[in-house]
Amino acid sequence: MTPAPAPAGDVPAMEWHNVSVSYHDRPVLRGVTLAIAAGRVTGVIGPNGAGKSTLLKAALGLVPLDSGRVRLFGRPALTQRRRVAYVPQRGAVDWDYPVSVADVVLMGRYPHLGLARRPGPADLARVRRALEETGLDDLANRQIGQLSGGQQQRVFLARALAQEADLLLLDEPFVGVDAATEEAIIGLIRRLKDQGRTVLLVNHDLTVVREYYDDLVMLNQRVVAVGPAGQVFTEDTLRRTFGGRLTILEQADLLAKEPGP
Amino acid sequence: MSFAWDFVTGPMQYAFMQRALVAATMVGLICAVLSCFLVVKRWALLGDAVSHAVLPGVAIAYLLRWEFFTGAVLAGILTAVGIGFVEQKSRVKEDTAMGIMFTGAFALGVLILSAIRTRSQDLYHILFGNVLGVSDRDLWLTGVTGAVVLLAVWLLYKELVWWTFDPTMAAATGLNTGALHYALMVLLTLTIVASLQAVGIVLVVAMLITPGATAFLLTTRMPPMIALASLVGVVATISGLYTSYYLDVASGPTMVVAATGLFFLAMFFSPREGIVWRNLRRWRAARAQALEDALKHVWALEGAGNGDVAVADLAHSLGRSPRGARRLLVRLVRQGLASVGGDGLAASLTGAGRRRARQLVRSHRLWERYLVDEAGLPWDAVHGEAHRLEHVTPETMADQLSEALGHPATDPHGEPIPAKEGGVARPADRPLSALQPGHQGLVTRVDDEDPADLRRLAALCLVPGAQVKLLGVGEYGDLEVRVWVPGARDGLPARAPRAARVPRELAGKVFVREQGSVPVQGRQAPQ
Repeated sequence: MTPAPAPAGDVPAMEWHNVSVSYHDRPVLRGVTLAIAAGRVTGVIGPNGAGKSTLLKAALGLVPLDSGRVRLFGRPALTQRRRVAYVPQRGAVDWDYPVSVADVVLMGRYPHLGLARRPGPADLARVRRALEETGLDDLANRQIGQLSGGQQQRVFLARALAQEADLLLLDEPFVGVDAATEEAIIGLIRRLKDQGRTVLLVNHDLTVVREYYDDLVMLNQRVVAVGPAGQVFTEDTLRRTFGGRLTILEQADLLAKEPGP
Repeated sequence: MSFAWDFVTGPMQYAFMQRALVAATMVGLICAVLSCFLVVKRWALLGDAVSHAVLPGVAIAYLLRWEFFTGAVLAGILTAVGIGFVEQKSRVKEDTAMGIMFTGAFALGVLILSAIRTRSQDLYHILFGNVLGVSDRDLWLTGVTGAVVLLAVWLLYKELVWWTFDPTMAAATGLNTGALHYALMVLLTLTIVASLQAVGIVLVVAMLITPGATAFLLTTRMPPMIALASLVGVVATISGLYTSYYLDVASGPTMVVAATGLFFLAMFFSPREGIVWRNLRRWRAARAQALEDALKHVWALEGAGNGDVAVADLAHSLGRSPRGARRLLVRLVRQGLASVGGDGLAASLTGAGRRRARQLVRSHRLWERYLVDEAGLPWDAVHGEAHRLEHVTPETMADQLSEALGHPATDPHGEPIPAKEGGVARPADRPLSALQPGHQGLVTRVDDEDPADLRRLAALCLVPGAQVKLLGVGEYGDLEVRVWVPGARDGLPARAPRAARVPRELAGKVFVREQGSVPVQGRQAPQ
């Protein structure tokens, strides 16, 4: 498969060149070469252990690479990291931590501040705007553990907004949220895209592939397929990505699902 | 001037007590500030590890006649690095790596000290502190070290919170978390060394955990948590010092016991989550509920019978002892909701009592309606929830509910919902069990106390709006009936007549309006 087609002259938001990663000598990513087009919503799917989260972590310098290199916006990844917002899995956050919603959103400004520098009025104004955009302004002073699952997920999206990142990485953003919240989150993601941001999200739900994503990366340690979601999401690629893990019936159900409006 | 004044100033006539006070205050403050970060980072065990690991450094410094400060700091930092090394280069996890390093280092320290045969007093002081033996030099050392630690925390506050809360994002956006990790370890080592003289290696751990943990229970934001922890730390060390002076016991352990005491005070009495307040609130709510329930029962009994309600009847209705019922009545009377006749055996509600009772019943039945119609709960699952809600529903909210539901006349179990003002129409009905054979009735309402009964009734289709005809009484007093629902209504599909057997005790929970002896297929439209 060729990398996702990007409009001529556009630099991809993220590129992996022959990236391999292993944990304790067990390979997780094997020679991944991939480009994510800027200004689009891209989904990453694959079975457990396929290296979906590792793909994101490799781009952010959070895991050592065995080989290969990563570029963000056409430049070496490590120089561009503050343009990237990372929304962690909900399970990875300590919800008892003594911070308020506004405190967490303010952390979105920290990458723009130097060491030991305190946030100024402009940063606080940006935080207020991010809270309004996500409908969290009434909850600004709540401790984060006192929020519902959907509200908690919105806090981290608000932080990404406050960071004014060009690229958003979301790791399983829909785990533990209700349908209405999922709707709200995907709405927010589409608005970000309309503002020219690039969104990359890891999600295990295969039923929303055609509805949510412009482009799709199908990953199982290697890149199995990449391209416009409507084209690459086929019986053949599903079987090659998930191997025997999906029954034929499940595959048929997924393929029978018509593309969303 | 007074006893209290002497109590405070008395010990301060000694220079060693003055120095001890200054040392104790500083140690309490520094340890407390750092403890906040250890608690949120879940590094309590690391404080333990580094403090124990300081011992060989002190021993070697003693052996080589170095300043003990130098040896201690070196040993602490080496251990901190060693933990990271063991964790990264082997498959053991962080807690195990800490356990290995700190016990090993501690044993090495004791070993060296035993080899050079120090007086056991020295070892004792290193382990448990000797704040009364603080010299001016020690004070300077503690002061300067403490100032360095506090300044570093102040400068790196943003980074420390960021990294301890979300290390992934911090690292992903370029914060040097490795450097921060070691910076916190160095600060920890410095703090431990600065506190050695006051509380000793073993007990400094308590001052590095307990104040932060105490403050964690009292607040939900970092800045007040640091302020409160500092207060806890300083109060614990100073009060510990005074107590140890007057009781003539070791000062280090006394400070730690004081800190632990403060932690348990916070755990029991914290306004937000303290066990005591929580239980008190719960108890108060239960007490208020019991009173309102009694009010409702008096109201219902008043409506059912004529005139005053006998205490015995109230007790029976509430399922309480006569004494319990009388106590509740007394509270009702005190609040002006009821009045008791001359003999004290019967009661009636006052105007205010009647009004409040009607409000409660109205809220309850509106909530049941709401939970069934809007929240989609089955009719057997709403009584308990409505009971909980009725006690916290202000009248304006009940009005809104009624409005939103289109002012319904009955609850899902057929009980009439009282209007906001005025009396309540008592349904002219009687239990199904009182029906004559061959007679027919319209089910008006059912007793909603027991969810299991409600499910049985629903299965028999004995719901408000259903028609029932008593065919005869069978064995054991069971009722042979024919039940049907004449037309779809209220979310209930129409149902053709069907024979059913109703146990007598269940039949007592269904109320019907008698319609005489009518043929089964009669065109009786419900209401």
